[in-house]
Amino acid sequence: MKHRTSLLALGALLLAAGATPAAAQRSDDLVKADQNAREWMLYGRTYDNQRFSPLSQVTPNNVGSLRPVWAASLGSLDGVEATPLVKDGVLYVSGAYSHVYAFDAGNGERLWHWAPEYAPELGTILCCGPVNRGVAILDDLVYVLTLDARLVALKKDSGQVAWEKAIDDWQRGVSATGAPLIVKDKVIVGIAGGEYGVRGYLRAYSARSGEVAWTTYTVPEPGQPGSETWPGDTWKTGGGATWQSGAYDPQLNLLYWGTGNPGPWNSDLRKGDNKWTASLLALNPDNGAIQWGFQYTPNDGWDYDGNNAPILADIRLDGRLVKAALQSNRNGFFYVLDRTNGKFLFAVPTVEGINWTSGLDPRTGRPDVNEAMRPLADGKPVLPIVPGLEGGTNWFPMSYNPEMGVAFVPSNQWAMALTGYKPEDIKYEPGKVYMGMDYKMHRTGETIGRLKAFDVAKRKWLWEIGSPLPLFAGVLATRSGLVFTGDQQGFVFAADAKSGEVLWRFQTGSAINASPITYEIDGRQYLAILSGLGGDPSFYFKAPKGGMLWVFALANLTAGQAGAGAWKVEDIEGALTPVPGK
Amino acid sequence: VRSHRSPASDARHAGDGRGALPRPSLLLVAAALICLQPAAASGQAHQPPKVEHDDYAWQHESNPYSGDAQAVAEGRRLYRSTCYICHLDSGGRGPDLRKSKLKGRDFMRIVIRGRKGTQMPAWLGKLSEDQMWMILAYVEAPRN
Repeated sequence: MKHRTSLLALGALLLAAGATPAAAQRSDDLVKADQNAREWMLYGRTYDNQRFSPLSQVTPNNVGSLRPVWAASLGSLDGVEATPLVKDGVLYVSGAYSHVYAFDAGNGERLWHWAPEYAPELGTILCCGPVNRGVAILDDLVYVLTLDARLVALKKDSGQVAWEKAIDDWQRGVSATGAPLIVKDKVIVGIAGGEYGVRGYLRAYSARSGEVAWTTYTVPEPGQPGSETWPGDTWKTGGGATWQSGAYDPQLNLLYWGTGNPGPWNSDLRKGDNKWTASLLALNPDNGAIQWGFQYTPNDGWDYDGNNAPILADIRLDGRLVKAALQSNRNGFFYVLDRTNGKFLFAVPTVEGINWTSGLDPRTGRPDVNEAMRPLADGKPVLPIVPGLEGGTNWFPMSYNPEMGVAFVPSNQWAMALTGYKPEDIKYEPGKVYMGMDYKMHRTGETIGRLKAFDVAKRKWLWEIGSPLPLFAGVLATRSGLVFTGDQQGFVFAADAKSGEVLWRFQTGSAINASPITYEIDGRQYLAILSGLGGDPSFYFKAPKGGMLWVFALANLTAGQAGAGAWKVEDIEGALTPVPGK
Repeated sequence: VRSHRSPASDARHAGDGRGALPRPSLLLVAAALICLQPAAASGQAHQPPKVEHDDYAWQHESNPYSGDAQAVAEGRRLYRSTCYICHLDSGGRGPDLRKSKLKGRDFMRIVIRGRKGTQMPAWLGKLSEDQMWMILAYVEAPRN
């Protein structure tokens, strides 16, 4: 028996030895994603979320000949917000309701489609539409979060479920819409539910087995640091959801993750800073321990959130090379923090006329709140508050060209009215909305959307492109000096990174609320983006819906390059059958 | 027979800006008129077939709470914690319910079962029938 036991142990050891280097190698690939220009393996392309591609076949000179080479319907008219990934010639993308699709990235052939099932009551806990922002890949698995708060690992080659884990009981208002983030051997997931009185947390699972590795709450319980910022039991329904994705610095071994608004929205019902809501947290990815936090909006009373994942960039500021974290916030400011310790370096307004604060403390970044613009639980409307709760910059990711030192920031210039309910009308019930407030967004000028370029070291806005409707798309920058994004009118467009001149645009047929990527197959550079109205913009105007994936490359394609080959009858599902008896 | 939306109702939402945001100066006017925003229908999703029968066991034939001030107040509270996030005060992602052509049980069926092809979920199990009637009483009550 002893002999056998030791053989088993040896076998396990060999298995472990065989498995570990392979897994480590693949997560090493993610650390070195910046050296892999041809693929797009992470939500933000690289762990620093710069969404900057070295691919340079498409330039300001030839971008005018960018043409669609293939497109695909996702089969749903619901909104699409995802960033596709490209690995080993396959494009993986999530659509509405966390459906996941795999396409041949070169010719558009659909390889598989995974369709999760939901209870008919699911929509009762979805604040902001059945959206999903992307998948993550490690080794042979594709990870996606579902709207009913599951983490699902799909087999990369077939789309079949390898395993799935319930993150939480969705019936109490916990959902998940962000892209998971792989760090080493773990998959890290955030949750949504800040409008339902959910206490936010971040959780890491073993990427291989799906076992929980750690859970870190963003809102402390009594006795933990920061608990003094929550009166009474308010922490229990305190919000601070983690509904987007994060960033990772392998050198510092720090994971960065933004946190959402406190609940309910009425700040006078939870007097105190309400840590760590509306904040950026830096955590040890191995055990989830919070290393530091920076709170953008203490005692947030405007639903400003703080979820946007930062861009990590090394920037020369006043002669000193700084490891910075850049974040464009819904509260109207663009923040530059020291990402080693969370110290505030500086911030500049992204929008004009910010009036919820008279300004930020130049040393600490703490806002001096204009109390006249703070809505309370008193039934009285407060307006116009600038910016409106959508920001500034909402969830859509900006990009950064490290060679220019310029960030390309989608933002919106608008205002809102907020009317807090009276305390007797605000009652927490699991699975019911716990906002405590009515809101209405308002136009303040001819344009709302502004794509803006910001020279970080010079602290200077360079140019902007306006749009009559809000911008809700992510941005891609390329080394060749281009910036790609989309607008609510349905245009995907390219601008000159230096001048902001629009050099190319294409009408996709529905609003763009997703983020573009670029990749290379057989020497050809492609641009891919989802099109389809949904999510928050669909609250504010009416237009045709979509649900399409569009892929572009430079013109002069041969028939073989432009899309998949003709279908064979036997490959067509549900095709017409021959006449019986003939 | 499927009932699809008419082309005319599609044209109404053709992105001509009529659904765009009012200016702040218009807020009070908008609040007073409450009919500036077009009824949102249900986006461009295909409508489900008309419900011909329903095995739901009704407790009330018609709304027992119409005009009952206390029930309307409770209906308002429930509306805020369930409907508001999509329908807002005068339509958002979901239509302005005060302009709904559906009355009584026709309205209630949508609340109970949800509406396929749209984001309207089934509220059966989340709300009691009485609570749904109270919400309808609030929706149909005159507002100040």
